Amino acid sequence: MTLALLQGAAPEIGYGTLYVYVGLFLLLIVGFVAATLVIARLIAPSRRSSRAKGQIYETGEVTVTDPWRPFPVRYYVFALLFLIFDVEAAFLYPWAVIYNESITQGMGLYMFVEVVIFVFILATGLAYAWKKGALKWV
Amino acid sequence: MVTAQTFVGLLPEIVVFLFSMLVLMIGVFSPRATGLTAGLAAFGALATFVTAVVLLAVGFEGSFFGDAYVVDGFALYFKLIVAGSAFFTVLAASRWSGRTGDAPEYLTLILSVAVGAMLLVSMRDLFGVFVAIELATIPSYALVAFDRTRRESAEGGMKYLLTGMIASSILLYGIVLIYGISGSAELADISRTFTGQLSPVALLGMVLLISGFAFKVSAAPFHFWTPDAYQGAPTSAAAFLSVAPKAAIFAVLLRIFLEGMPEAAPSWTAVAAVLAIVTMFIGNLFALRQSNVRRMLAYSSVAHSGYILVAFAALQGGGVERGVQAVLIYSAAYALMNLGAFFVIDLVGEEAKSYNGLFKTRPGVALSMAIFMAALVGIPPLSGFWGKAWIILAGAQSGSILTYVAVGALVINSVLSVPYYFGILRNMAFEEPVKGVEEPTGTGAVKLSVYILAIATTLFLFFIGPLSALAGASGLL
Repeated sequence: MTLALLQGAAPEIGYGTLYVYVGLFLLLIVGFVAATLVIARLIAPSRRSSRAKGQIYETGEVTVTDPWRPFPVRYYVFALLFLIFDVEAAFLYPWAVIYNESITQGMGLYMFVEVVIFVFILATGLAYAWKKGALKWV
Repeated sequence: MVTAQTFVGLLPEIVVFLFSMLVLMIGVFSPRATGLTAGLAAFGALATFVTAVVLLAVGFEGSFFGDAYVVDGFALYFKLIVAGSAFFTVLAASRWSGRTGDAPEYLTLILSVAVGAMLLVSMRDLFGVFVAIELATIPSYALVAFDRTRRESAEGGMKYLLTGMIASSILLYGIVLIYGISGSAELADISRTFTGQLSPVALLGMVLLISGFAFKVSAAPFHFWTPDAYQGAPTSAAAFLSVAPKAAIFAVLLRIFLEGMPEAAPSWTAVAAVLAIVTMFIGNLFALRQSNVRRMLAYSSVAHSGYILVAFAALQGGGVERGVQAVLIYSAAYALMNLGAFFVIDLVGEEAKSYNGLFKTRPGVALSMAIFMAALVGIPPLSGFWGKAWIILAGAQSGSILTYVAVGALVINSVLSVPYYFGILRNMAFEEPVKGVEEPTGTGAVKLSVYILAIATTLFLFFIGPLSALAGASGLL
């Protein structure tokens, strides 16, 4: 049957049978994960915990400083600002594509006002970020 | 087609949205005017409330955007709850947020959650539901993590963000499966798919949808984010998030069930009953062990989600009408008492010890807290009792054995919840005051809202008539 599938004879197989393949695949996944965990438990040398094991994982090194500390987020702010323009482009492009069509249907003004509201909301976000000094490199 | 009617239907959302933008802009361009921004935010929430009241009073009803957005009595009722709790939250948050230095942002976030929750209760299209839920949830992640002076706040925010994203993806997966099998995301079309013998895909979609919603309303076994998020969040944020978005999510779940899958009622009432029983027991049993009042109230909010889910389990047989009324009445009752109980934390403190001897030192606050605690247990003339009474009545008429079991569990759990609510009362009445446990942070405005909420909780008896009439005419049935 598997061979038949490979040879492109899929239409002969009923829709319900395809669920059997999905089911088998799920079983395979569950079986693999379970087997991995069981084997790991069997062959792992020691399960006793110690102070060294309880420490924060720092790529195998001893942690030197407190991990709770501020770290610079300069790029993050720019990424967030980029999102404004990203969303704008993602929405404006399809809007522009169907705008001509909507004029012929008499929806032109409605579509225009709607997109102005949308751009206004994004512009408010930009104005906020600008005034807060997010555009300055500190 | 968009007409003037559409704008009237969207008026409450437009008002609250404009005020949220205004608060943000004024806040950033004149940072000194914290009083002005707080006042504007409170006024905006109040104006939204009034707009919704007017729409309800003139009996405005309509369906817009190709039947994807509906304004009816049911939706307006929940918009009232959201706008009302936003008003009290802004009032209670004004002083605290002013001191953080980021007051406009905090208030804007609260109003954004309100916009999302208010849009949500009107949605009749599953994708609209998803977008509105995200609009209500994404600002709430920021609200939880807003208190930068406490580590728990960031921790709670992170946990809330991660579990919230998982919940959203599960919900979206359920929606997509339902969309795939019915070929449309509109509730009217979905109801045609959910008839007769359910196909496995439809069933899986429904279960995933319910699981996603269970995450959002913190029903067990999807509740584990709740205690950490609410303990870490600023008190006003925890109060608001445990009331307004939750009520809106319950409302839209009710609409999806009753309009989208009415003929699959045996399946989803059974799921709701099982969820309700597990949620009530887990919420109450864990609440018993808490010495931190904020965490205790978080678990109590889990338990109360379970109580409301019993009303969902009762939506079959003769219990449908009563069940819908129960959800409406319980949401209003819960909003009053839970907001009040959380605000008292701002006035007194979050350690149970801080409440010792409060009747001697601050009788007014102590009496209000006593009223909220008694209402949360469900002592007769107070608000919580009426919600529970309606749920029990609805369950008794449902004619399903599983629902009877759920109602029995509700009664048992009401008794189970007595020790931890009344533990606070005992501390306030019989213990000697302990000095210097915690500095209270709340002030005048918080005290005012606590008193108003306590009075409303006590006099809920007089709202019950109009509320149940409103619920009967809510347009969902």
